[in-house]
Amino acid sequence: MKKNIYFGLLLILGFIAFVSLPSCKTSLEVREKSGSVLWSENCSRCHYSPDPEDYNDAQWEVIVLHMRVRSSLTEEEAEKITKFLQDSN
Amino acid sequence: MKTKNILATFLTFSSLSLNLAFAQEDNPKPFEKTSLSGVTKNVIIGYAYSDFMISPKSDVKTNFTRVGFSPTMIWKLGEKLFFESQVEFYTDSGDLNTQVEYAKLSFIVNKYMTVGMGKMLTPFGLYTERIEAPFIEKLPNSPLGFKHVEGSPNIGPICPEMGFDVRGGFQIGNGKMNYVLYVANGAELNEGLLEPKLAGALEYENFFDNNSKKSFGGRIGILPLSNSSLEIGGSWCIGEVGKAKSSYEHLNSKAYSFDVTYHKTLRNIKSMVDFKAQINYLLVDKATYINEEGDPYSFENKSDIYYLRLSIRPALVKNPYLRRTEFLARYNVANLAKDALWGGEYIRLDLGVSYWLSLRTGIRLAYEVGELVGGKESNAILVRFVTGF
Repeated sequence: MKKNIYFGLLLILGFIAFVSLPSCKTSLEVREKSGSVLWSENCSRCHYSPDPEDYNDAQWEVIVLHMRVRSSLTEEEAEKITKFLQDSN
Repeated sequence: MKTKNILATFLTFSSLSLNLAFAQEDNPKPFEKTSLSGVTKNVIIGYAYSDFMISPKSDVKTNFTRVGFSPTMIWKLGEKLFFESQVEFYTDSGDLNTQVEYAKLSFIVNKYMTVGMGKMLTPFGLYTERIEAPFIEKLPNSPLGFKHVEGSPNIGPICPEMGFDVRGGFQIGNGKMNYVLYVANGAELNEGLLEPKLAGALEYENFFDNNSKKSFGGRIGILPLSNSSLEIGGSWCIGEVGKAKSSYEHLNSKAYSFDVTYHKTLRNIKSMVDFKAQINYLLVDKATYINEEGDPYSFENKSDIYYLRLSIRPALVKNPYLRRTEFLARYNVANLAKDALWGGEYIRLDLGVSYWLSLRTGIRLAYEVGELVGGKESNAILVRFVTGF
């Protein structure tokens, strides 16, 4: 059992190191994505998104935080999506 | 000893992270004022649905089977503190059921890590945590074996669990990666004393633990494409499942899962295409149980369940009705430990149509046909009217 846990952890760390080798930096293309593009790409993987006008600024702030935690969005994505929704309502 | 090692690893990990977080608090970001600024903010979202079923082979051929309402309360308690809870109200066979689906307090340690504790949707595979909610699931039923049904074995953690998790997401080049590690009460072994037919089956609704050993699990998700259209995930969960001081006390279980999601708008066919698949494997140590006649028996306790779902929505065509229609097909298989009293191979095909009245409200219709291999067949037409709010 203990061996399994350590072996599992070792595999995960090895995998993270492997995929991190090519580049740990966010590419320019990704960094330049707008909030609307990130909103469209990320939210629709699981569900269709409500209209930005459905909620006010404070509500969007809380809802996007909820989704950031639930679907492990990056901080940068969550900030851009929140700003887009607040600017569009 | 094993539990101590796991807890020690988590505590060390968490304390290091908390130190980092408090260091960050010393230099907080300037708070951006908005017209609705305020430290504490909350919102109630959720969903409601109503189900209807036509089952030609049943004595009751048509039935309004279930209605459900699940308010989800989310509180942002500060810049780093966050609480979320969902309460479920639903009728099943005419009885009103209520339950706390999840209630978890989370702390954002830094941009790469959030820790949380409480009753949580188990991050094992993608279905339970992200797809299972009726307004997200585009068919009116769940994949075979992926939703907890009272009196049925759970093949992997498919129910909410009590525990603690560490999670986060980060960019790697053009792609992304996300992770969750968790400790939970884990599964409870059905010894078959009260229900001999379920001997050897696991149930993950173990809200007051049956032993001192915690289960340890997690999920790693990779999104290799820059447009986040593809996500591939791998999950695991290991732990002891027997009741403390019983002869099954040291029985181990190992569950593994692999999931794939692909979502893309294909302009050449003017449609949005969505593909999802998940497979769960469960292995429980071999043990001896007593059958209904009082005779001992044992079996290889290995099971797996999987589903593949494809949906196409011609969202870019001119016809406004067709644009709101989504066509779905899902193939489901459950291979349950063949020599268990609850064992057997089940196959089910679901064909459905979902019509979106708005982006959050839909009418779903599906025809499901299933069979126990070598046994009886069943079919039904299901209708669900659902909204997310």
